[in-house]
Amino acid sequence: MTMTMKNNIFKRVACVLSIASLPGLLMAQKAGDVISGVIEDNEGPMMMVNVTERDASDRIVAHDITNINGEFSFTLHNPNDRIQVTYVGYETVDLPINKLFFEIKMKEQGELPTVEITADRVQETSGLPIPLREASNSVQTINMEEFEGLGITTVDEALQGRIAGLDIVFDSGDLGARSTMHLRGVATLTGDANPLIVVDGNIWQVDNNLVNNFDFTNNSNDTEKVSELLAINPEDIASISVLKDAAATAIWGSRGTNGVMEIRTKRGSRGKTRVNYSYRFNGTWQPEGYKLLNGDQYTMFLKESFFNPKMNDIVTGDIWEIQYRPKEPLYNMYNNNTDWVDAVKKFGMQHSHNVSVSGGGDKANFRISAGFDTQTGSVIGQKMNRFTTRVAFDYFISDRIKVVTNFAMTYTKNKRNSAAIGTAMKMMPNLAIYYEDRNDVPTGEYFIVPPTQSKQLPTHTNPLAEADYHENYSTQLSVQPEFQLVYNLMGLDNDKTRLTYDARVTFNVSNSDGDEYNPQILSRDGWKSDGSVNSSSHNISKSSQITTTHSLTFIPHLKNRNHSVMAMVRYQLNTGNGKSQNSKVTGAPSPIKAGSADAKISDISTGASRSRGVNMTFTAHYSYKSKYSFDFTARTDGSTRFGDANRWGTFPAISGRWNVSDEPWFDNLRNAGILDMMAARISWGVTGNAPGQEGLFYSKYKSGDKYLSTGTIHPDNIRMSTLQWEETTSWNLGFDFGLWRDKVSLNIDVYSRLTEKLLNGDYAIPSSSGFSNLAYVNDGSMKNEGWELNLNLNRIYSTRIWGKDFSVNGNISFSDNTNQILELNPTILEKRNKDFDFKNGSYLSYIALKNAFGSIYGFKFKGVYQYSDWGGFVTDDNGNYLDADGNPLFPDAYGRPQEKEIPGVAGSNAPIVRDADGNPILNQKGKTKPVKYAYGTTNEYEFKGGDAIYEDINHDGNINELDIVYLGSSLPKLSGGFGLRLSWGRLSWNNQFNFRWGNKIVNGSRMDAESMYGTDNTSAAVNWRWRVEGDETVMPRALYQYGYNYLGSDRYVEDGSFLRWNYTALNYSLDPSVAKKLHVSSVSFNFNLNNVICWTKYSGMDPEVSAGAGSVARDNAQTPRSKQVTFGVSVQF
Amino acid sequence: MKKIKLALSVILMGLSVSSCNDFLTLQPLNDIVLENFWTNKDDVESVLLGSYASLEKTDCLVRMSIWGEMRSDNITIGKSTKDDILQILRDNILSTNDWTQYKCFYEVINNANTVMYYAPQVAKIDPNYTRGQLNADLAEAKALRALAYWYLIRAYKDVPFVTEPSIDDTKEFFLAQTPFNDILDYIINDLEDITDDVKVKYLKELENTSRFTASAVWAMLADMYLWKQDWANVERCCKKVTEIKMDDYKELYEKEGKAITVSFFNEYPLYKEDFQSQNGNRVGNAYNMIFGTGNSFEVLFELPYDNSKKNGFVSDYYCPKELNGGYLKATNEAAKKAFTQEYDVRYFENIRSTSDENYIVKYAYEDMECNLSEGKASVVLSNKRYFNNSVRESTSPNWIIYRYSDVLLMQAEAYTMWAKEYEGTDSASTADRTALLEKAFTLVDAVNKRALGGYSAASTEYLVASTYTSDVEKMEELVLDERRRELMFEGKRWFDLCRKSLRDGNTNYLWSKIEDKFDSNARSAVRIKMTDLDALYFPFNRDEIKINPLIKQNPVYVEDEFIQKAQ
Repeated sequence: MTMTMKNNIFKRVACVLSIASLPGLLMAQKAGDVISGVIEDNEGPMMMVNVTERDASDRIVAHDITNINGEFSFTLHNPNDRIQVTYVGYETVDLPINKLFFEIKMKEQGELPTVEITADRVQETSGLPIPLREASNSVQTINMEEFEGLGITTVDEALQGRIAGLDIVFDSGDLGARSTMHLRGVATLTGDANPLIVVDGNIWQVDNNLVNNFDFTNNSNDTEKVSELLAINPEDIASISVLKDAAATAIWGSRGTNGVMEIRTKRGSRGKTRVNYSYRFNGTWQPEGYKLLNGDQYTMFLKESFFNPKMNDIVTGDIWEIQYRPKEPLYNMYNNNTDWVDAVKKFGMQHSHNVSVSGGGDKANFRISAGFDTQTGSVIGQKMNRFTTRVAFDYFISDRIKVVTNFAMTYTKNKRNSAAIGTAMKMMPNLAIYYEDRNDVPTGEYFIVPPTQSKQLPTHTNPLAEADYHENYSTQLSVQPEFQLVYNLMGLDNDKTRLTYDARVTFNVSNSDGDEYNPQILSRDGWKSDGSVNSSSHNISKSSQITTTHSLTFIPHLKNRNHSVMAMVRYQLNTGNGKSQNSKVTGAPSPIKAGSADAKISDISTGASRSRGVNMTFTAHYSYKSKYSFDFTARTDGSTRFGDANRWGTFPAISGRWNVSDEPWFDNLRNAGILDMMAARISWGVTGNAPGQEGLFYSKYKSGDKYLSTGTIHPDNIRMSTLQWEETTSWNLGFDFGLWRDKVSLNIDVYSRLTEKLLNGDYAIPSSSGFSNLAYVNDGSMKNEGWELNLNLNRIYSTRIWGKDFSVNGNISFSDNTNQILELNPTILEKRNKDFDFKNGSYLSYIALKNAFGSIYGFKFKGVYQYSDWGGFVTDDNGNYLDADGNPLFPDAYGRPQEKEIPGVAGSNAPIVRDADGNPILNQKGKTKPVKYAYGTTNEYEFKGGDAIYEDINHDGNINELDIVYLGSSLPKLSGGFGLRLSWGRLSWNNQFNFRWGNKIVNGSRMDAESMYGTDNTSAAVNWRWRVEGDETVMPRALYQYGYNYLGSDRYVEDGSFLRWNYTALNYSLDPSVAKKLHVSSVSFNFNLNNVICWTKYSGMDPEVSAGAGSVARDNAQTPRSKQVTFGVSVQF
Repeated sequence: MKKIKLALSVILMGLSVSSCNDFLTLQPLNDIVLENFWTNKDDVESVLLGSYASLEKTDCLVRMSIWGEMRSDNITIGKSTKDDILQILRDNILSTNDWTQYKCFYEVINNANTVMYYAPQVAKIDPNYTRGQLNADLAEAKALRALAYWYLIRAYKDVPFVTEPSIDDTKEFFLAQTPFNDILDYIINDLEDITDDVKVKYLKELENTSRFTASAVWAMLADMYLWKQDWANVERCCKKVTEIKMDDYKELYEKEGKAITVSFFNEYPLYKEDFQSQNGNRVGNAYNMIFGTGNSFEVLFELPYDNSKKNGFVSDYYCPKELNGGYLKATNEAAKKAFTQEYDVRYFENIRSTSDENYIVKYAYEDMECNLSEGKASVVLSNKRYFNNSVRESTSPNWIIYRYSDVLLMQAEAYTMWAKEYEGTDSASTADRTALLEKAFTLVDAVNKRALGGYSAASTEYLVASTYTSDVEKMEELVLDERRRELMFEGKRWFDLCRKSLRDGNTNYLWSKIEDKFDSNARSAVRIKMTDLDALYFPFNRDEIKINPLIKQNPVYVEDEFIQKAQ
């Protein structure tokens, strides 16, 4: 507002004069008149002020912006319209157009008076704005403010242990890998059991069916594809709601069967434009894993391993690599003590930058954000860059019409190297990393084991060379543009009957491609090998989905305010298609990496697919005095995955809520000062699930081999004309409590879900049909039951310390779920329950009807046979017991003769058959009988000293499948988490813990590391192995490709209970007055540690192991979850 | 309100733009679907050829040998034999053995059933699809189905019997077995029905041996009647084959004239073994024509292989290119006892003996020539005769299912068994018997003479009629021995032994033949099992029984089920 006063006055005078000279001043204005005026504030005329003419529905019909002198003018459209003047930071002026010239004085907005907002918080998960206190379904919402300044990188990290009933397990610590999420257990035998992820009402999921033709050589793709879903930048998230029961998920129909995770992103809001920048540094490192053998221990172990099976040195003699023969040309390369794991570990770093700009005015709100991440893994050779951006724009055309557009994009480029730690753990520790010269000095050239190496030894590729030369890139680009139009057809506020039409189009476009190149330098066989030299493969897949939604929401204004009703109908249609292409060439000349190179094409394939869906939803809410509420939802889904007869499925849900605390009599309770609020909820609903494959109801014909050089065709499947929706009926009973003036809020939910017409994939049928299976069949039922408890502590304790506010907040959640199959066709059951295969390392998998899933069955491990020969007693002709030297033996306390030990030769702990009382069974000649494994089968084996002892449960002298017993359950008895947040002034300290209790895990990685069956490097624990007769140990002898020392037994079944300190975070924001001096509006710092400590008895890498439906929890992890330290700063301008 | 109406009508328009069901009808992009198929005769032809293609798959091919010959006295364990095959050769067949699965044959059956179901519908739509062509197509499909069942019932005795295609999941897939004889009668009926419809000749020369012709159908019928012990019908069918072969001969003669290498042996047209080569007078012509070149005059039905479609059985199981043996090798008995005549060229065609191995070379040689005059080997044939052969670059010989000499020997077997029925010692019976035995001998002798190669010295080795025409038992044994020599490694021997055992009602003859195959400690166990006629058949696969409770396991293998859970 800097302009000369003189000029200003002159103009004003001119204006006044001109107006005064106009005749007919009081005449009503008419269309076409020119309206003009001057805007000023206390300091003089204002420039760039918005002046608009608005019609009855608040639509702008004419517009001008004041010039440097504060003047404006526009042509009037309708004399009934109003004139509105707005400027940021000033109060809006709204006047009827009753004159041609306006002189308007703008008032600066002072401190806003404190406004008591009486409107209830609403829950919009059902599509209706239902007041939170009337919500009758089971939903848990977390607002992102709770996580602000936490330095989390993904959503799942933040949610772990926070949502009761949501089990989040991180299976891998690789970059870009994601977690497995199961909500209230797994209720299907087929397909993905992860919850549906919805972002701003848009299903954010690449339809698996569209890209399932993709065959990456690297199976980590699958997890990566899903992790893309959660690639949404945590800084953009406003809230996350987890929809648990059928009443809540009903509007998502068949896709919400596994629960729904609804993410709402931040939007712009009216006010000054705010710019926010934050930077985060994240350091990660690998925790200490197993101690492994060093080179010398390893060669010793191998020598024993080769010697033991046949008790001779023939094999060992051939393997010069473990013989320390300096004359061998590569001797220098095989005489080291290399710590391979240490060599592949590194300190991983992540730098994230995020900028967001948000603001808005009268007509439009916006928020634009962009984030850039660059990340290196805690293992060499991993690098990931990610760019995300999100634009949210709301434009109010009038107070009736609103247009909303969203645009989100994520671009990820990932250089993968997932095998490094796994390979490093297996590498021979006596091997050199680099070629070494005569004096053991590394030359810097990676050593790749030559083809001449003894064939028994492992041939893993040097993981350092692999990280340097093996190229494995994947890039992904996904774009989600959305367009939405909201039209208020009737009333505009709560006092009128409202009818809103909402139309929305969303696109989901995803492109990904992968490039892999395996150069000749990594090939131990050089050019001679099977043509896999210089192989490069290239995969591309793209998919797009379009969804259109029309909804009509009706909220009548009833005269009797005790009743409130709202209803919505929605019609949704989606269509998608996908394409993929995959090519691989080998034998290209060395520097050429392109998949299109002129080389031998070893593999080429393409795929294409389509999908469509239609659904209609009706949902209604009724509430009486907000005390009793009822909801009803019905959704009809049409799917292309079923034939005409069963194409449509209708899934209803009903729920009700009683706000007990609204009853008059409750006042007595409330007055007691403990219970403030209490509500009961009950819901019932059915959800459906479709098979994971398109086109099942078609009889398909495929071309087959040529006959007589002519193409042939044959029927390829049996069409599924009777296939039906898998239906899950759920009950949920919930209670909400507010205690101690709502300092404590408590939710308890009990649920039961019954899944019927279970979809069983690959249902075997007699081969007399010409086929081996039906793609799917509806058979059996399954039950999930459980309870959840969620407790929020809001300022449970607060005081003032040193003049600053100190408060304690917390959260606790517990849950339990059991899952069992109630009925299943015996054929399917028998097919799933395979016979025991008698192999090392396998646990009997067995599903019993009406028993919980995840039971582990195996042998009982009883230690190690100390001796091969029994040193006990013999009986003479008179039946007296004598020892081996013929001396009489006297009975022990149990009336048995004492078994004698001849140190180093023979003893009582030898593999001999004993009866139920532990007495040796002797044959007619007084000789003992050897204990055998799998007698009478091709796996038959006679135990010797140093072998593992398995308990002979039935005392038949034969260890076989009849000695397999129940060893425990993979499912936790209880799981959950709790958090504690302390805040003191501007400093807050946030801690989150999660735990599982009472589950067993098969420690597969320890099994591998202690099996002593192959020649890969193993755990240092094997140094305690049995070596000579008489050794007392629990670690069996080394046996190369021989024996049964690591049968699936309780030796590897461990207690998986744990308590993990997930993160601890310190957050401090600068005093605004200090910030102002720095010319910014706020600054905050945070520092946190992730995966701080894990208290567990489990000896493996990480006790977080998920068990799929019907299988046991087995930990084969090679890359444990890394530890992280994060430092971040966030600045708002 | 006007606005509301407008908005509502817009929404309703959106709803009715296309019927929802049409919108949800989405045909797969990567496949041909039934709705768009079966519109013209080419569709019928391509699925029909698809049935042949499924019969030709390695899965079926290997089973033809496993079921038809591996358990016999011809074949034993070779080099690096896979465990499942090993157990079959040791006659320790468990229901968990992968080779007891029979799905591949039911694929042929289902494909054939599909053709039979849809071809008549196509005939209604496609005006170019003539009645005659339809009938010929149906005949081929029936013949293919009959052949598949024929293999199945000889291997498993009673099997589930399906004559409808598996199109959708409403069909009853869980079927109990149908008895051997019911199936046999059904397929005999089928084949008798089609003898007029099936083509005698196809347009393409190759198709005459690779698709079902009248002669192949007659041969198959003869084979079935032989098992049914219906001698008169065997004779009728065999004669039909000979009639056709006589016509074929005339045609061939017109084409090749003097160069023709088919000659008459006891009035039956067969390839001559002897031929003129650069090295002089040599033998091996019949082998080269039948097994080397393929698509020969003598073959009635064979599965064609070539470089683009390899024979997945011969190179792995018999001999690869290097002739160093596959999973199987010939037994010592086959190598040393089967060929009793010194100049029997079939020995060289079948076996290559080294000091300690008997490699199977039938099919593996692309061509061979042999000089019978050089050297003089004893009956225990040394390998010293001058001998020349070439091996296929890639092993892709055709696999013969029926050939003419097989038919001649079937006819001989029928006459012999017929003769057995004239038990009386009166002169009328004797005369009838002798007449039949003479007919049988003529047939055996024709095949045998050809094998002796036309070499002059061999004539002293010709079979002597009087030895056999007076003694039915000897004649029967001669027929079986001749069949063994002629059809060795062609997947026939075990079936021959089974047929004989079923006829006798015991397995004594069979056991006496195969006994030496087993080492002494396994022998008694196998013997005990083999006393049961059900042991001639294979067990049903464990998975099949698990899936379908209606299938009754072959009683001989039931006990194994219980004990042997492993593997």
